[in-house]
Amino acid sequence: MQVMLKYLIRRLLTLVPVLLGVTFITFILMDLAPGDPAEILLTRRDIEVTPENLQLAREALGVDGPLPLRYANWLLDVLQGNLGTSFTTGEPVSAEILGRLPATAELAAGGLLVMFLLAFPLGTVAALLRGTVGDHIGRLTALVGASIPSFYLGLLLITYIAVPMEGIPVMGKDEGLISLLLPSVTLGFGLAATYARLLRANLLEVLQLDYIRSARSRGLREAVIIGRHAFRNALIPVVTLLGITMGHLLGGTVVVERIFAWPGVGRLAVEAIFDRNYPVIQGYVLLMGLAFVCMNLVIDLSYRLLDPRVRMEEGEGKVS
Amino acid sequence: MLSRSFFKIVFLLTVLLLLSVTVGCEPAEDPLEDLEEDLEEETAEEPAEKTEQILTIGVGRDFYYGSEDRTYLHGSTNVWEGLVYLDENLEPESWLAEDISLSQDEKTWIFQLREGVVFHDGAAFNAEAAKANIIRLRKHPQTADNYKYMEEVRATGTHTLEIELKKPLPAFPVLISYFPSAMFSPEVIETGGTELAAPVGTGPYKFADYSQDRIYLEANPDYWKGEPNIDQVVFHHIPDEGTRVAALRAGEVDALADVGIILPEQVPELEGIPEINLLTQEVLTSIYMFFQTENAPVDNPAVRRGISKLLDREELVNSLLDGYGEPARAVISPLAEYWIDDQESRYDYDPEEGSRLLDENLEENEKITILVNSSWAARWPLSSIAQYLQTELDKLGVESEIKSLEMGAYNEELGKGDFHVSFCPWTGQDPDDFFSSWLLSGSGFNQSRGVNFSSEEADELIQEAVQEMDREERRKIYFQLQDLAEEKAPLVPVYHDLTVYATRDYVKDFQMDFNFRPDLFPAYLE
Repeated sequence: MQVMLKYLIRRLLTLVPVLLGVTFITFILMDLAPGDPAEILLTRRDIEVTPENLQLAREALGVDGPLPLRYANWLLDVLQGNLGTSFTTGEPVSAEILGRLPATAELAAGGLLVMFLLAFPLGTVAALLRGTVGDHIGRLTALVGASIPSFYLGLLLITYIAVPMEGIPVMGKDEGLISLLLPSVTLGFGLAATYARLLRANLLEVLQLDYIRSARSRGLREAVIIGRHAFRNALIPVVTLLGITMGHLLGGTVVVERIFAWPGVGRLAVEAIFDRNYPVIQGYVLLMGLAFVCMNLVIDLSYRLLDPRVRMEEGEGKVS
Repeated sequence: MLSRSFFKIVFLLTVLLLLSVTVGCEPAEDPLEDLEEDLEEETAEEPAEKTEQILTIGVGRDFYYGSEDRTYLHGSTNVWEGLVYLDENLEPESWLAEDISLSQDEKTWIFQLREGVVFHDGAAFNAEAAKANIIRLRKHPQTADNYKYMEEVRATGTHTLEIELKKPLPAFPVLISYFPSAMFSPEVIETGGTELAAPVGTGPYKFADYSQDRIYLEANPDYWKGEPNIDQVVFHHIPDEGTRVAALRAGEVDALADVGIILPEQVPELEGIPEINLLTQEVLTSIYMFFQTENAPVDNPAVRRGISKLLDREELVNSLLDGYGEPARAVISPLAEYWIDDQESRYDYDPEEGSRLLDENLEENEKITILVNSSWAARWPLSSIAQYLQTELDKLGVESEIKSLEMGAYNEELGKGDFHVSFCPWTGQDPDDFFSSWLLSGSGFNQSRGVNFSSEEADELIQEAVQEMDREERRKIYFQLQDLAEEKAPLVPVYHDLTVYATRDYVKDFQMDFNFRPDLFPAYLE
């Protein structure tokens, strides 16, 4: 347990340089990107872009100083729990992001659920029935899922399911769980394709290994071999990918959010990038960096459950 | 049989996701429900005869601008009203100012304010409140320019407001119409500043809440024209054009109403559906082609005129907009008919003349750079117009390249002046609005769009027109300016926008005007 705690603390401490790094790089990139936030704001608000107005706007937005100073100021504010205010609405950035994060989390959960429901049976069946019609159908489905762009699938679902069928909303998240149906299917279908193929390939690889052969020679039932021994090992790369996917999903899925008018953080971030809305971009990057690191930490911890060798390497067991 | 470990992982991940979802699924305060509860409480003692009417309007942009904006919310929300509006001929029309007159010395405008008007917070609308608003608007960067000739504002009676100008300005009421004369309760105006604490106006609808891309409004029972028919209005920002139309077809929104809300190519999808009324409205937005007038070869007006002659505006409107637009024949919107000098187009398609002008004035191997703003191109077919121009230039052996950039990079390129031709939408009102913005040396759009046009003659005429109190004389000066704009061609009009919007059939008396503002007061649901 102590080993585990030390590991956790060590991983959490790595958060500090990671977050400092990503926020500073973002700061530099935004500064290097063409476009002046003051000019964009003036254009957006129909204010004449004169040198005087530009200077006033730059001062008001706090983008007129040298970059290191601006970054230091931002960092000081963050340490005091202040992510700044949005250039475009004047609202606190934390409120804007946190107000939209739950919607994104719901969509991420829905998408993952659909992915699980599709990918695991498809991947497993395709591996077990390798070379048969079932395998070909599974692989073809995965290929279609990976190839179809989410905006197109979303529009198809809206046109042929939501519009003609009462009770299934076209957009928004007002109708409760049913609102999640089409955005989750759109999101989950594409993901399922990747995961099904990955799971199939891993299962096929594991099923060729010596320990599976020896399990079979000892007369173990096929269900036990697959379920208890093969599947477990085939899951490790899948779980690794899951950490990255979950980070991406929590970062928002812009296309799906746009098509289904889903009020998530992805759209907020993209709009902020187009507006050069630095405080919102920085706040978003900070929270997403946090989400990525935490998700990957959870995934790393899950290896301990999946693979006894990890626990042994950490001294909880002895290699005999 | 799956292993226990696998279930452990699934359980772990599920818990993690559920934790985040729980935050999102907490009984979110649904503003609509709150409104319904409030209304139920308020009407609890009345006989429950009236059915609640809720109108949901889909829009393509967010109408919530926040406290730092001049009006907090877009004017289409009907939450606030201004002193002056414009009629269909773009002449000043009374709004919160019942009567507008001019002093003998022609420098002071006297606004007789409407009596019996109250703000949504119960504060009275009077000359003092209007004065506080004018002081704020004069300071506000978005409206300061409209009041640049203002000397003083005075409340000379309970409902009499006087605005004294430094010099006679015949177009002043037009100049401050709609947004620049928006009135808000003095209680929400920042003392000595320009911010608004809340959008508390005098309009037929009161602001209730903003969340999840929606603005929730409730009827103002004390509205000066009477109580509106519809109890609640929701403006829903739906960014994707396909989703907007699908939402209307599915009945999730009752109307789609904003500029460019339905693209011309989406019209066939809605035509023939009996439950949907498809409507059109001429709006004040026009699309222009402008030049960087300091860059060779477009520093030569003959080259600019030559390029303009290559545009078949009729064909562009028919093929790119399915006819939902008006080919431009003047630089000013056709809605301002009085100020347009003749019925003949100054901007006819004449490829032979265009070819001759370019042949005579272009050197060999000169390349034209066409700049396109991809953010605007999502709402107007600017990329297609650029490609059309490129094809026409190519036919004459003139090499050109199209650079498509998003807003930030586009602005930077304009600032550097590293282009020859570009396109933009522009919405104006008074002809002075157009000429002062685009032809006056060093002025706003002339400078910020990188046109950099300079002409002493134009400057003098613009200054003369803006002060000319005789309407006929002023009109003649604008005719001269139109001649000059045609000859020098720093920018040329392409087409005037015609917006398509739609409602479900049970939405009655719902109309959008040339400012894309729906008048919600008479609207009702059948």
